[in-house]
Amino acid sequence: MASDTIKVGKPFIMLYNPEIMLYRGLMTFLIVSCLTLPVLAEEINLPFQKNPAQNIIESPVMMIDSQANSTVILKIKASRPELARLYWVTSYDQRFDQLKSIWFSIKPGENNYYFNVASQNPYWIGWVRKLLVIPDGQGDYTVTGGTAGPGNLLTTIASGWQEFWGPKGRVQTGFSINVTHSSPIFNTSINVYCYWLIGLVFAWALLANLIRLKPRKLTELERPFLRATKAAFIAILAAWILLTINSDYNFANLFKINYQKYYGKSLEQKHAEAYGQDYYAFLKFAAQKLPKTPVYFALYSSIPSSDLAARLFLVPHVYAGDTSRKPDYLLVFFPTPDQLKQLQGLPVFARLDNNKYIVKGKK
Amino acid sequence: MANFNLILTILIPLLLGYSVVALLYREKLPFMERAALAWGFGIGLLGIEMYLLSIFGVKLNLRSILFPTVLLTGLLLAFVVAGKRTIFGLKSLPPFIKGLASPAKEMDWRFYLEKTLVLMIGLTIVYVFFDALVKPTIEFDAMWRQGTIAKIIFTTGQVTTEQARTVAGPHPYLNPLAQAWIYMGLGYWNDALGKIIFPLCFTSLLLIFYFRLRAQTSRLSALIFTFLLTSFPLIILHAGNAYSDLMQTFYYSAGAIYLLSWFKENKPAWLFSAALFFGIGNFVKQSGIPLWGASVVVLIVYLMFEKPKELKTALMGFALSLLISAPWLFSGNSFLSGMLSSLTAKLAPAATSGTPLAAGTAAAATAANPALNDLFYHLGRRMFSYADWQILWFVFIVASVLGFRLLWQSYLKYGCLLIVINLAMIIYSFCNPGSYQYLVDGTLVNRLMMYQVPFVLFYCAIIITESLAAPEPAVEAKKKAK
Repeated sequence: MASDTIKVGKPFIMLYNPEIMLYRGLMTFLIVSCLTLPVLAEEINLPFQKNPAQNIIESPVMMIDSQANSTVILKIKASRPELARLYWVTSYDQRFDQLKSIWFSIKPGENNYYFNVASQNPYWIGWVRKLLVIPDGQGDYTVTGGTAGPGNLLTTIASGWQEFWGPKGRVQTGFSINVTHSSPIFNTSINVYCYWLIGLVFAWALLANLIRLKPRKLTELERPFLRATKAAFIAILAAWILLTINSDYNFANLFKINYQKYYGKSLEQKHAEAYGQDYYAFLKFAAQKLPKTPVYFALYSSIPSSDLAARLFLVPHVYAGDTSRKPDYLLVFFPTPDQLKQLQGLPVFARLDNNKYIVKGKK
Repeated sequence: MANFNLILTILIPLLLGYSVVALLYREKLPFMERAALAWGFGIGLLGIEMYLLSIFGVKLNLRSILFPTVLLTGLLLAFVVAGKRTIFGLKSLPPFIKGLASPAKEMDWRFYLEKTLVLMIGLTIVYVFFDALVKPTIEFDAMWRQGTIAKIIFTTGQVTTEQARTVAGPHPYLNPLAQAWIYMGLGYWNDALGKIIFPLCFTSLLLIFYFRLRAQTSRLSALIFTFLLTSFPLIILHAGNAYSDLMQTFYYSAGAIYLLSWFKENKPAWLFSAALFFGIGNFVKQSGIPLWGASVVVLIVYLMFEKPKELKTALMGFALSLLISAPWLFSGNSFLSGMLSSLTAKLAPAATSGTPLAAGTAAAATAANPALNDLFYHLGRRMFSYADWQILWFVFIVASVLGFRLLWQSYLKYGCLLIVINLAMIIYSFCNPGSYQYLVDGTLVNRLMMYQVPFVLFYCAIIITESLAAPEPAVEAKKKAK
């Protein structure tokens, strides 16, 4: 049976052709080298420690050559899924800021996180002096291990994979109302890879059809061109359908969040969830205490953008900032020290507690 | 009870819309397309009616709005019945469902693919409804502008109170009026349910897109591109909040799609539908007016080069859109009034300003206009490398270049012209330093871009499907014959 197989397949001698053997050996050597040689290079241990005062995990002050150590690998133990940022400072710029950071998603349990930092952020330059990991939430997180090194093919692939599924392009923020990032790989939009794919499909199809059809006149070029166009359009549809599924996956996650947050709740509970329990209670208090006829009001609060909910919720009362009128009432909700100074001497109209009250009078 | 009231509140504009559609269309129209048109026309006309009532001093409440609406609907339906026209087109519904459910004879994979696509599109629609209805109004502009005005209209029964005028600025009122109508129907303020108008607009847009495309391509192609229409994250996000941008996208894109259908077939009903959509679109956002203007320019170009005989129909269409948008176009704080008053101020003698400002000082204080290459760089980034439009703009270029012959030889060149004019307007609008920052931070540019995105996809869909279906030139056959 075995000899039959050899007969119908390639000649036995072809399988052991010395040229092919040499070629295969060289290729295997190259691949193995790519995968393993960087591993043999020296890696720098990053002994992260939790700062008990803040929810920050930090490395000691070090001297890491960013060019020689493009890859950071962190082993993080987490109690729940969360977003986090990896920050660093360099000898050029000693401040921790968002420019020198990478946003990533933490999974529950103990997992490895790969960052080919040089490909994800242009500010991984010079000598890196210190690294920080700051989780967004208040869960229990520890970095059980960390290294900085040159990385290898596998760590680069792992980094690109985790970056693609990471928060950029997936997590909805207040700014998503204007802009939605696309999922990146090595800090390059996934769209760009699609453009390359479509371009290559077109070029390949054109070349293949030119070779196959061998046009001799200019008019005969139409046929290969048409076939290449069709191939490009099919590539477009395939790439776009995949991008759509990728977006749908994000919306499925968003659905889960909104479902847990709002589904099955009364309108009051939904407002409390959206505005914050405390603030909603104060707005309800204000709606009860303010006169029944429309009045002009202003809001004194240290909470950013808190006027938005007040304007909407307290209609038909008029937010004085929307008109040229001076306010009849000042709603005070956790005011700033400056605002407190401005309020001195004005009579309190109604009080919910020491940080939440209404002051009467034209200001 | 709230759900029952909500359904009734939606049915009233829908019935008004159905009567308009029945009056417009002599030809058969699928039930679902009819419903999509009816929602667009109905809610738009109801909003304009509410605005007019308020201008005439009528206090807005359910009763004061219902009376003229029922009267108007009855009058239109009387014409429809007298003309023996179809109102709902329900007969087309069973074949449509049967068509989606029955497998194609020759290939099974086609059947499963179509079913999957219908399921995916359906899931997106369910998601959009869920997203809109499950949460209250929480987005920035929706809270301080549209949501607040809607609540003012609901509680005071007036549209242009001092606060509403200040908050609205030069922006039209259709969005807050439509939300206020829902509150009135419910009998209480419910900002979560008030947002139902947006997923309804989104669904109508999908239906119009599908049926107009289906008229020219296979069911599978129409479903694939309708599925791709659900791929734009910004459109999906806006379908679940109370901003006016989704409404503007719906009215403009639907109008442009029907205008393109008219360029192809010259059926008056297509043009009148486009006119109604453009007209109502002027009452949604300020940008409705320049978008309408661009469409009129393309219509003129089309008449000049293709069908001068259609001038009468075109004029009727233009008059219809002008009539629909007239209450807003000529109102005191509209965009057009603002433009005219600023023009008047520029033409008036300098002494009338009363400010002893030297011309040189004013010129010195003006910031330099952004460089064109910077502008293109930022615009290019927004168009090509973000998820908002996926790979649409790249596909638009590829489809226009590779399908150039088809484009040049068909009515599609007018669609291309419309897209290019709109892009030129966007570029122009960011040429001054004041608005340039909104291009750089992306706050305005994406929303301006959104209005025509469904139309651009529609245009690409036609080129791609026609190119894929195009037969190869018969070079070999000729050779063999020789």
